[in-house]
This record gives sequence, C-alpha cells and structure tokens, in this order.
Amino acid sequence: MSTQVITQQDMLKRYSQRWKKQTLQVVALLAIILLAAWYVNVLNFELLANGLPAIGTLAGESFPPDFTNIRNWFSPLLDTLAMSIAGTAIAVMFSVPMAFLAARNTSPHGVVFQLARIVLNALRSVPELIMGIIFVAAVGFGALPGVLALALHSIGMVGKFFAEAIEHVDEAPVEAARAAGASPMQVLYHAILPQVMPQFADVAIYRWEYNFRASTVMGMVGAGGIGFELMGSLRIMQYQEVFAILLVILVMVTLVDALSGVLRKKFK
Amino acid sequence: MAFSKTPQPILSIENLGITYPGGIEALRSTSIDFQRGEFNVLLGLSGAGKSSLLRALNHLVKPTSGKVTSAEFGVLDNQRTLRRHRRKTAMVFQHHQLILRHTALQNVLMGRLGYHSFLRSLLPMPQADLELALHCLDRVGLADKALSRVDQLSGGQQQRVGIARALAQQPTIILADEPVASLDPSTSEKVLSQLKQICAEDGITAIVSLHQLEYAKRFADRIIGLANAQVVFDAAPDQLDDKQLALIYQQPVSQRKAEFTKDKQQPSVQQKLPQKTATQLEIAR
Repeated sequence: MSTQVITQQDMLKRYSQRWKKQTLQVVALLAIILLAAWYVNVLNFELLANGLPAIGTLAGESFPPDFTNIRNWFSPLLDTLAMSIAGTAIAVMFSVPMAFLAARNTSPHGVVFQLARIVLNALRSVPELIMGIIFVAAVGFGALPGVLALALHSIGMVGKFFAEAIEHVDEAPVEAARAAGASPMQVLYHAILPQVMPQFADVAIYRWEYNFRASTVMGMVGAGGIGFELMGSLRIMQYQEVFAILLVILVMVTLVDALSGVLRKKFK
Repeated sequence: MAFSKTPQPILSIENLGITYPGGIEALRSTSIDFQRGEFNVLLGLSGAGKSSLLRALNHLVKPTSGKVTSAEFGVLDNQRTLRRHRRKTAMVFQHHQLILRHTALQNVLMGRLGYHSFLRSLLPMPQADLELALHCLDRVGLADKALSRVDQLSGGQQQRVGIARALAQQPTIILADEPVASLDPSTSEKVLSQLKQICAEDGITAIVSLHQLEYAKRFADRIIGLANAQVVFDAAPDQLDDKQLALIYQQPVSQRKAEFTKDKQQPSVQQKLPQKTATQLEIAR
C-alpha cells in the first residue's frame, strides 16, 4: 500500500494537462478524417459535380416504380426471410459455446482463448458474399448456400459480442454460486448465462435484422431470395422494376425492424 | 452458548496467511478454532483483513500459507472436499450478490446447486427443493415476495433473500461478510437479529464480520478483533475494554505513515489550504 500526497497545485496542473491532451486528440482525429476523405476523392468537387447528371438520368429512368411482376416476388421474399431466420439461429447455436471459450473470464486456458479469438476473427473477416460464392460452388444454387454463408459469417460477429457480454458480467453472483458449492459448469449456466441473457437476445435479434438485409444481396451470387430477382432486373436494365423491388425490400426491412424492436423490449 | 463447547472445533484454521499478488499482506499467520453453535463476530476497520479471512474459510480466496480444517470433511486440500464444505458452509455477502433480474425464489434455489449434478440442474429443481426454498423465504418474512424480481425489492429485503439463499443450503456454518454495512440502522438491527435467531434455532455456527462495535457487543458470543492483518483480541464481548478497543480501532499502519509524509511535506503551497483539505486530498493505495 503506497500513499501519495497531492497538493492543490498539483491537481490543477494535472487538470490543465488533461485538457491540453484531449484537445490534441480531437485535432489529431480531425486530421485523420480529412486525410482519408481527400484520399478517396470525397474532397474532389469537380468529380462529384460531373456525377450528378448521371444520377439524375438513372433516377428518372427508375420512375415510376413498376409493380407488374409483384406476384413473382412473394416466394423469393419468403426465401429471404427464412434464410435470415435459419442463418441467425444456426449462428447463435454455435456462438454460445464459442463465446465462453473466447471470453477472458470463462475460457479454460489462455491458449484456448487465443485460438477461439482467432477463429472468430477469421469468420468475421471473410465477407458473407464471398462465403455465398463458395457455398454456391459447394452445394449448388438456392437458399441453402445462403443460409450457410449467413450463419458462418454471423458466428464471427455474434460470438465476439457474446464473449464481450460475458466479460462484463457482474462477478458478485458468480462468487455467490461458487461459495454455495456450484461446479464450474453450474456457475456458467446458472450464474453467468442468466445475467447475459438480455444482451444475448439483443445481439441475436439485431443480427437477424442485419441478416435479413444481407440476405437480399445473397441472391446476387445465386444463393436464393429476393436478391436473385433484383439482380435479374438490374441485368436487363429494368430500372423501374429495380426501384419497385427496392421499395418492397424497404417495407420488409421496416417491418423486421419494428418487430425486432418489440422483441428486444421483451427481453429487458 | 458456551456450554456447547466441544473438544473438536467445527472449523479451524492453522497458521493461515494471505498475501495478495503485489505483496499486500491481508492476513498474517493466524490460528483460530471456531466452536460449534457459536455466534462469532470478526470486528475491525475496513481493510483490517476481515473479508480475506472469511473468504479463506471456504477458499474463495486461496490462502498463501496454512490450512483450513472442517470437522466434517477434513483439510480443504482438494476440489471434492472443498465442494462438500462449501455446500454446508453458506455465505451471506455485504452486497447480497443476487442475480437482480431473477425472482427471489430463483435466487434462493441457487443455494441448492451444490446438491445436484450439472445435468440434473439443467432441469427444473425437484419439488422438495422448491418447498424448502419457499420455507426459507417464509422464515425471513418474504414468502409473499417469492415471485418478485430481486431488483424490485428494498435493500433490506434483498439482504434477507441473501440469507434465505444461505439457509436453503441447510448449512452447518454461515459466513457473513459485513451483512449490514449497506443497510440503515433499523434495518441492520432487524437483519442481524433475524440471522442470530435462525442460527440459534438451527444450531448453525455463524462467523460474521462487522465494523460496528454496538452490534458486535449485542449479538456476539465471541468477538475476534482484527487490526493490520492480525488478531488483536479474542474473547467474549464483556471482556472488551477501552484498551482493547483502541487496539482494534487503531489506524492502519499505512495511513499513519501517510500522515508522517504529509507533515514533512507541509510546504508553503499548502499554507493557504485548511488542514482538513490536505487530508482529503490523500489518495490511499
């Protein structure tokens, strides 16, 4: 136990130093943002101005939206919905055990912890579209490769968030369970899991929402769903139909969003 | 309850020492025998080593030297003995340590975990356990709150749920770590009398850490005074006189040191500050 004595002057000096440091950090951050914007031509206004008429032409060609084929979109939309639900469920199933291995406070060993983190990072860093292409090659066209791609990519993200929730758990009830003679597995299941349940539900529902949006693009690589229709209309330059499909997707996303909001409130 | 003293203590520690990583000594080699059925109070300032000693009694804190021996299960030196000992040695905490979003009943049932295998505990608890848990809640006067979420209960009620969870273990020993430190005086008294009464009824040995002298005097059969990681007093409450009290409530060594440094460094800058402010600015540890 070491004890320090701090005078008022020291305190004030430290306070002003902290202010200077924070200002410097903000300036540095702004510099990085500007540099990045310049690098990707966002600050090149001439280029931007030239693009505007083209966007205008495209917007004009997409108007008014053409809903004549809407009957053919219900089944692909259902595919997309089912893909997102199944993909998320599979992801959650594998994420829970992965999370316990990848959380500092519950991992059985340092090596296991590192390995689990590497696996999660690897899954996260392969985009779902690439996974979609791989699975289409492996199991053929349809909803199945889409589900597998969504699931596998989601584990990387969901597992990481679950692990973080576990790391922030209140240790007090955990200690109480150990004191009552609970075995390590019982501690995981009865003292940690109940505490992280709301966060788990939150992440899972958010991920479902994300997966629904992601599965609309999955169709582009032949992995089923409404994206397949979208890609078809885009290829034959039926922009009015593309616009209509985008509107339908917007309605669905809004519905999914509202539903997930309701579900999340239930798990508080 | 001096009459119940038996030659064999229900729990004993021998040369128990605890040093935390970083070299902080929480308990210097200490030996104590706890007698069956007694209400023991560990008395001392915060930081005196009460919590560390209590937590070493069920190895929540692993002692760095010495051993803990239970009359029923022997020396705590392996996982199996330890689990059995923990099952029969319930603990009550300062901040109750309940799962806030669970109901009182669910929390009390946690006390039964040690009696079931992991696989069995995945299923709903047996009827007998449920009845026992309800009975325990009834004993602390919270039968009607069984299905309320713990975060909707008051501080005193939460602590009583903590006691009910301890009782659900059907313990022979209860360790209580500052059980009333976060409660107001009138609630504190209620909680402590309840604990004392239940222990007396069931013949449970209690080891309770407290920092309030009046409670210690009122409830204890035996007071063990701790200061600076050492036992400085160990006898019945009526043996406690002013001299002994001064020993227990002496300032920790580190703080005294700090004051010396402060005196030495009293330079011109601080002359404007009142004496008190200088002390408040001290950051211990």
